[in-house]
Amino acid sequence: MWLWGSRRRAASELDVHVEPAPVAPAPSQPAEPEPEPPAGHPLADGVGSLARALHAHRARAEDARASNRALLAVTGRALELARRGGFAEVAERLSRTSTGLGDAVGEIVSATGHAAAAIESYAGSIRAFEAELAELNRQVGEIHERMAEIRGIADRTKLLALNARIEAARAGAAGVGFQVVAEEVGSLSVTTREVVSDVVAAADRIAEAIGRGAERFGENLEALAGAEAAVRVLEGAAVETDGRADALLEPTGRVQELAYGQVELQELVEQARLHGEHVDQAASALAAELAAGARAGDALWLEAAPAPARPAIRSLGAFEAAFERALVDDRPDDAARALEQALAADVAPDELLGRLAGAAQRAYNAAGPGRPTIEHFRNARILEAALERLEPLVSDGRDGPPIVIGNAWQDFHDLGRRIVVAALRADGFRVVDLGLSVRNEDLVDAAVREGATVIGVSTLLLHTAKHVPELKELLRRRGLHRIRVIAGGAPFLVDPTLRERVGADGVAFDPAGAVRLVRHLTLGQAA
Amino acid sequence: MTGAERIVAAVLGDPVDVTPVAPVLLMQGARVLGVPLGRYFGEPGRIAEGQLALLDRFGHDAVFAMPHVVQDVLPWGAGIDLHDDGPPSVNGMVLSSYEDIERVAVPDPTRHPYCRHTLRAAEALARRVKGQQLIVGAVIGPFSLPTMLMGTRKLLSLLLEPEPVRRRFLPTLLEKTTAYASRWASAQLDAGCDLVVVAEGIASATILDEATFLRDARPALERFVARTPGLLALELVGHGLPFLPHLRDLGVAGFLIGESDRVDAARRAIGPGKALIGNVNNLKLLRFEPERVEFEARRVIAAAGPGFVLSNQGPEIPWDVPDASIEALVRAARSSRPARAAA
Repeated sequence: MWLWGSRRRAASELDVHVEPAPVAPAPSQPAEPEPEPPAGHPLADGVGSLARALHAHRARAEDARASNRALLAVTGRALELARRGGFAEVAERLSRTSTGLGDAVGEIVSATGHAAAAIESYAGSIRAFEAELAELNRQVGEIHERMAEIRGIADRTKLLALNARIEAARAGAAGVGFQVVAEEVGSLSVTTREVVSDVVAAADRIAEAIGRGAERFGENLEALAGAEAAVRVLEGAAVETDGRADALLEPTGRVQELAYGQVELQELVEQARLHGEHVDQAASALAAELAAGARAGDALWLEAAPAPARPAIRSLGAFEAAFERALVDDRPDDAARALEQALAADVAPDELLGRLAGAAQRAYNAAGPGRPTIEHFRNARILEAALERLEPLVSDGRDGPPIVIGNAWQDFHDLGRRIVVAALRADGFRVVDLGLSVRNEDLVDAAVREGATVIGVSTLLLHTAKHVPELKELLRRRGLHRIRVIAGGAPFLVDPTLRERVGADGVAFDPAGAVRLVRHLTLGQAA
Repeated sequence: MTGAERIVAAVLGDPVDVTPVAPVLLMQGARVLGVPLGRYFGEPGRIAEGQLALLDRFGHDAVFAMPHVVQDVLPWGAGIDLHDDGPPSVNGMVLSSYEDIERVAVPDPTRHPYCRHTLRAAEALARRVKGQQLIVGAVIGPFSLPTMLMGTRKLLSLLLEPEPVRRRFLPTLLEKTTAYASRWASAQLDAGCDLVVVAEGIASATILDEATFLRDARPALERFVARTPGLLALELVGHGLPFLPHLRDLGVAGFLIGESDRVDAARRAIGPGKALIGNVNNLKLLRFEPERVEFEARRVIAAAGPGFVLSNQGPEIPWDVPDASIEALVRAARSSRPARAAA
């Protein structure tokens, strides 16, 4: 079970939930005196217990604040997303565009209708004028006919005049006057014929002009017919577009609804963020008050403890602060020195062990999210060295809840797993690390053998993450419903929906998150 | 424009007709040929056939002349396991101690049968689509190759060792991996690849702090680029943006970026004259509907400006991504109106 022995329990409560507290004393400064109380000193025991309880409460307050800060980061991101892009403005513009499109198409429909009517009317006029031209052409034909008759009369007159002159010549002197008349008549008939020829030629030119005009009108009529057809097509398309513009109004309305929803969501997230800030302030104040109480308890405890029992390093708090500083600055030598000083001062190894996780979490939180892997790895190396130094000194061994962990089958990326293992071990868990590329059957067998209720699967590749649902299925088939499966690794970080899709009971994105998750699952099950 | 012309234009910052698109399709070659993935990877001679079939299927702008990058460890004597639902994995570490770094000889990748198949695939692709599609090769970069030879933990341990230990082993290690990666990249370029992607999975801000990057990773990259003539593109797998300003002068043609690196910020970081390639989240392709994929791709294109090649983030498109989503990616690029102004 999670709680292992009364003395260890007190130590764990002191340490497991530690998170950074900006309003609390800086890690390098606290020098909170809380060495091991001498046995059989009732006042020291009582005050020491009080101080440890205050430390524990402070740690939990800081833990709550850290979680809340993570929540604040999430709401901050959500807010950023909700504010991005002016969704409401886009919806409004879309709506305006949709309405404007409908209006414009309506106008196009109306205009094309007018254009079609105008073309039709024009075509009618042209057809009427063409008929008038045909009538004119016919009348020119009649002129031709009349002129032909006149030409015939002229010809006959000329013949008569010739005959008259012949008769006048026969008549001799008596016919002289008649011959003059006959010659005039002949001359008139010639003139008449010439005039008729000119009139006929003019009528021919008129007829030709009328023919050409009629031909042009024919062409115009064809062009008009084409234009009329095009306008009809345009009119049809405009009517269809008008229908589509109407259809666009419905999704546009939905987009607007979404936009309104987004605005509301933005307000809600802002409210959540406001509440979160209040919680943060309250947790900070609480942590500060508890830290002050704990320091007062430590001071009382020091007063109560006999002087010879006070160790040279003087406090677990000082050790934790020194160790945390060494983690933040990546100074393994400083970490080792702090450890050796504490041990030389006879500070109990199990108490020191209990302080490692708190220091690690503080160091993690000091760096904030987005910390490069190499920094986690540096901390893991320092933690591993401390664990290797301390664990052999703890007579009853690490008897925290067992956790079975390994890389998924066919996954050979051990870095993340090693970092998480170090963090879990520092937090007091008994970690059974099965290493790289572990078959699901071996994970389950180990969990059953060790009595573990949590199996951790580390995976860097998407296709190895697919073994998680198979592991869940294996547990189900074997009736091991109490064993939870947690996962971690790059695919889960990149795709937040992957946890649900593979059916993992939880995922962690960093060492501190893994520790929190395992604590939650194991403590929850213990309760 | 042909696909090759389009991508080269993007690399040079010249105008393009539409945004070039190069989804990293590797495993999909097996599916389109109808063979199990494990068998496909076991027969690297079929890579060209698979890539050409993918080209027929999706009509994108680049082909990839390698089965997977895990092959890079084979000439060192490491083994790989083939799987039917994902890329191969290394089944053991070649370097089990720091001392092994001094003992191991730099292998010649062109003498390993598997890698020779890969080179033949590049030659076959060059015969078929040279000038039409860009032929892309890939190597694991010199700084990240050690993670596959000795494990990430051991490499990071070496980076953190006291100076005498670091000085003894790290330069030797990086010199050997640089020589190997350079030789391997050059062989691929000689075989017909137009461009080689240098995958540096460990050199991003996800893994390294800035000081370590500048002290150890960047010099290794600079040495590698200096001794590898040809078009190279660098992929910092993970969060690369914080380090991009330090790579402005690196002699590569472009950078592959992930979704967490916004394209506009990445462009500001590297300046003009280099292509940005990315950055649709490859895991989101698994759960997004094709319409959403197209939307995301259009959004990235709109934000990117000139000199951009649409692709996915991360090493490749996952096995389970449906064809419709890949089509959506290509469709988004094909219907795009790329920015015209010079970067």
